[in-house]
Amino acid sequence: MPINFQQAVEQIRSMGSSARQRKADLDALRELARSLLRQLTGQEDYLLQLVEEAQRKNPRLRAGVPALGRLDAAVAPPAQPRPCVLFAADGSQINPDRHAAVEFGAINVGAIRMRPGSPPRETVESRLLFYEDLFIHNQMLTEDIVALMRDLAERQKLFELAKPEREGGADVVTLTDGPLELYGEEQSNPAFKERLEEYLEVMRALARTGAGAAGYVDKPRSTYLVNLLELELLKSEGRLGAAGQDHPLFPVHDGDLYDHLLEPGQRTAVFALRAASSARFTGELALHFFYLNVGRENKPYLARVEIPHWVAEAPDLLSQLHTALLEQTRQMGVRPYPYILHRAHEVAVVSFQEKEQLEAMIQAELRKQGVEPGEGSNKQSSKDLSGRTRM
Amino acid sequence: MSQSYAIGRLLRASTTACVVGCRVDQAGLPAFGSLVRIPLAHDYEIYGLIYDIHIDDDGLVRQLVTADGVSDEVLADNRVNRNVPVEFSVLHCGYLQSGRISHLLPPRPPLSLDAIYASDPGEVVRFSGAGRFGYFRHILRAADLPTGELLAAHVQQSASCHRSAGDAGWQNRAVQELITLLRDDYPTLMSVLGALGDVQEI
Repeated sequence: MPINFQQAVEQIRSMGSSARQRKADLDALRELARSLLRQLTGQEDYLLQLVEEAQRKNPRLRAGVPALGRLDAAVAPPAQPRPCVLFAADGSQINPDRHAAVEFGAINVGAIRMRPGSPPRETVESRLLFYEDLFIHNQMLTEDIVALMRDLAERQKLFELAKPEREGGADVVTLTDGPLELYGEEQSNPAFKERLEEYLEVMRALARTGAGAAGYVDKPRSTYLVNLLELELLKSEGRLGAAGQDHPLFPVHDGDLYDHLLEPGQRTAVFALRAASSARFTGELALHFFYLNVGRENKPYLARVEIPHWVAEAPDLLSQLHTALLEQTRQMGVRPYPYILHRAHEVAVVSFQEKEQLEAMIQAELRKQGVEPGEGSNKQSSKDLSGRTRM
Repeated sequence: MSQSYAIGRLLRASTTACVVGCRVDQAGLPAFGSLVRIPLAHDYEIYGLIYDIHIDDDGLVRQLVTADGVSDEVLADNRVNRNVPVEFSVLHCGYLQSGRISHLLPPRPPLSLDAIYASDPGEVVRFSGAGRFGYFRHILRAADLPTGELLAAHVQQSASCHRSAGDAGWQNRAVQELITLLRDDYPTLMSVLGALGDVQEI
């Protein structure tokens, strides 16, 4: 039995007994945050100064500041923007596994093209990693680095697809799932820095084509704007130095601020992200975001949409993106999520069976060449044993 | 061998029947009760009747049906690109070997991914006009089939082909044969005659 249910039941009861009080506390904090939002709306210049002051004290502070529009703006979907070609790419990967019989990795990128009036087109590109591909600076690729290589491959694929469309005169918007900003435990790793530079270069190339780019974050729990509001609380207590470390509004998140302000289809103003981690995203790549209510009447559902500066400052691209996301999410009925992103994921995902099939193909090729493939580790072999049966 | 269009490829088969898959956008082509053929070798092909058409769903399709409006592009994507085939069940009714049609079960079933073709009117006349309706027993024997409806659809299609070929009496002979075969099975006979009656009224 994998879980001690007797212990679990006691802990669940204990959790349940505090749930009501926690909800009441959270509701009070949400109300405080919303009142701060109302109070600070119209003081956007002051907020910018406040963030700059706080970041001088704590450079690791992450906060959003209004870049286009008021703090409480609710922007309706545009009436009728020009139709555009929409591309989405998603990737999946096989991480090298030292316990496996053969060491290999794979990066699989799926992309979908949708254009009004024509059937969607899908493409998939698979790159296998062998031998020296699996090492950077004599270190085996970590999961973070492989994930970064996947993100880079997604972006490169979108650039390859968008460029000819733009040269043909079409308006183009490209979408990926998740933030545009790249995270990773290993930001100080030289391999991470190298891939990040490549990623930024592809983003710049995409910007030069004039195609739009956006990262769609479903069910966001980000607190960029809550962090901003907290600065006012900390300042009033003379503790601005604790910005980014003390979180008096925790666990309120940005969605709590806007889910009652945005009607279905409306978005917030565009905010600029101020964070040390995104310092490499400068100029036309500077990261911005807005929240979009893709839900229904009385059932708001907010997504965060990350965009680079070149999209934030182009009203047409912004309108096309806004409209495209609403059309896409509506296709998915009661669980709104961009259809095209789901399809890109569906095309890209590598199943366990496919991984096993690749392993078998690699082993067969090695044997054909007279090279005996290695064996899996004893640990992996033990894990692969059939599970115990219970009486 | 006729060069008519392929409607799908074989998914699985037994001696008595097979299941064929095709993309959703091809679904307009074959119809319930249609005669199809599966060429296997130079002088050997299996004949069968489509007795069931099955369209499967998946998680995404189940979610899409909850949307207020599904765009034409999403419809096309699901019918053209996504791997959700329409499945046709085909009852084996006979075969052609060395130029001779037999209404016995085929000696060997088709294999995975064999192509399936709709029969043209000439093939329908040749198959259903050969022998003495021996293939009816495969239809009548099969359990869990909509026997009356299947026979009615087949008789309607075949009678039309025979009439065009100048044989107006084929339908009458087919019905007489069914009455003979079902003389000891009154409920089935009534069900079959009821369905055939609907065909004639139309």
